[in-house]
Amino acid sequence: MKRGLSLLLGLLLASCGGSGPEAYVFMVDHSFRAELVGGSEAGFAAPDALVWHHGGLLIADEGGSAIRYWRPGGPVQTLAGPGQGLRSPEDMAVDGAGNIYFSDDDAGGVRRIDAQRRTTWLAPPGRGLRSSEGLALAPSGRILVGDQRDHRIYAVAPDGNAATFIGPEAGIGKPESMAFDAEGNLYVADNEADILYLITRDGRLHRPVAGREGFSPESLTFADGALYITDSRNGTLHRYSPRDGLSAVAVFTGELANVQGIAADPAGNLYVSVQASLDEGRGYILRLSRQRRP
Amino acid sequence: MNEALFHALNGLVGRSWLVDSLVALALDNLLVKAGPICACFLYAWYRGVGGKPEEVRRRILLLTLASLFLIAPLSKTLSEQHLAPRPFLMGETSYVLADGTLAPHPAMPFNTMQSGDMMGRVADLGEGRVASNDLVTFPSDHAAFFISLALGIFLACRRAGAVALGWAIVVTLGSRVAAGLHWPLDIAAGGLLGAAVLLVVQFAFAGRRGRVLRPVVGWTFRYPGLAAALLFLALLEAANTMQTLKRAMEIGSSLAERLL
Repeated sequence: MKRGLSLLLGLLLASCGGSGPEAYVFMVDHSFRAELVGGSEAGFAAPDALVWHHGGLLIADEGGSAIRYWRPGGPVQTLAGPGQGLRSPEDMAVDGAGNIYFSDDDAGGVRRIDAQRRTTWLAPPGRGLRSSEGLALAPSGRILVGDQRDHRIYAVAPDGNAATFIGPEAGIGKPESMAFDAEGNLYVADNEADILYLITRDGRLHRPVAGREGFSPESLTFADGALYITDSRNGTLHRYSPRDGLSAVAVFTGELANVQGIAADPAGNLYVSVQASLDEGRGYILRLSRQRRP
Repeated sequence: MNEALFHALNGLVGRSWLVDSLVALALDNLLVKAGPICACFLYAWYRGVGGKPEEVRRRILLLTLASLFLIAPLSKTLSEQHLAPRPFLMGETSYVLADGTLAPHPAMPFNTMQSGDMMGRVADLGEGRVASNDLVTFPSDHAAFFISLALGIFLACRRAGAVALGWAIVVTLGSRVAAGLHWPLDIAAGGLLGAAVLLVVQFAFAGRRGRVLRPVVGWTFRYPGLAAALLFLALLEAANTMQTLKRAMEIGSSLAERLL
């Protein structure tokens, strides 16, 4: 009996051993193909927001407390880091003059990296902006910034004056990411209430996607006339348009499940950042591009 | 061989509404999935004269139930060691990350059932919803549970055990492979795990060491009504692969978090 028992256990342990796949990405929309652009060995830690800028990616490296710039295949450049007081850079926007604005959900406030790579406060944390989240450049030139603690969206003028743009009465829990469409309507991802909000140009608040099972919007970007939405809680990339509604593009699992930021290049390729481990400073950037039709 | 056996069984579904409905019944209906195995357990428990002495049979069967409580956490711990998606997920085009490389994995030919809960699970994938337990399926906890239970019945009463083993393999577990919930290898590993745990527990209380169970076995003879009632609850929970217990532990854990 002992021999039989040893054999059974040995077989089971042998079958459970070995290193298997670390992640699967299931393509629900078969018109896309996925590729790994790079991992932390490139020089970033655990990336959050991404912005396409001058042929490369601006990376809000939350795990490395830095804002970085990377042209895939080249070296990663650090534009601002812990030395400038960065803690958890969250979201970014770039204006026409090349100034990079970014939020920081631990340090709060809004900071600016100018063309000479000087990092300064645009609006330091004070009575508001204590935990700054999503950030977007409005057509008016103001910077819209979400605040998790105040449940508000502030509008920060170029001189640094911050005023409430959307107050807590709107019910937005955590304005994690924001994006303007071509008509100037603002989409807001709330990953606390799991709602995608739309604020039209006339100031009216809508909830185009709310109360949907398996939907918790994280980051937003526009590409090919549709809004692409990462969902870190469910490991999903969604697409939304007012005409077609919400649909899934891909499901990320395992090491790649924690999808965070998203950006699109001028050709419509999507770049998705993944935080595999924020504590260990490990992450990836993937590119999803349309497959060529034969 | 694993894939060939899977495709052979999966080839049975997706063609006929009747076959799919019967397979769905084996997957979704507790009575069909586990009822006959539990009936065999009760047959072995209450069988009068013949075969092993009744006291020995009851000791083996009580230890079998006890082993099921060990299998639940062990199976969960082992399955969480690495990623092993259910076969129906591999019916989608996918990419696999291994050793720092993301490689394409073409969609696997897969027959989707036209009846039962499986239709909803496949539709969920189309909407981007994948349940976390659909990604860690090796070894199969169903196989570990039902092979252990059937083997325990076999140790107590060969005739009832043979029926229970046959039902577990063909109906309970075969339907899970046919539907795309498990690879044959998941089932084989789960079965090995269940058998190993059962044999360890039985071995631990074999011979003289079994004396410690005498009072418990004696109690089932003195209070047959209460023993039957408790046996019913234990079998119901076993048939449900300890889901109530798992849920109770989740609630307890959440409650402790909230209070602390």
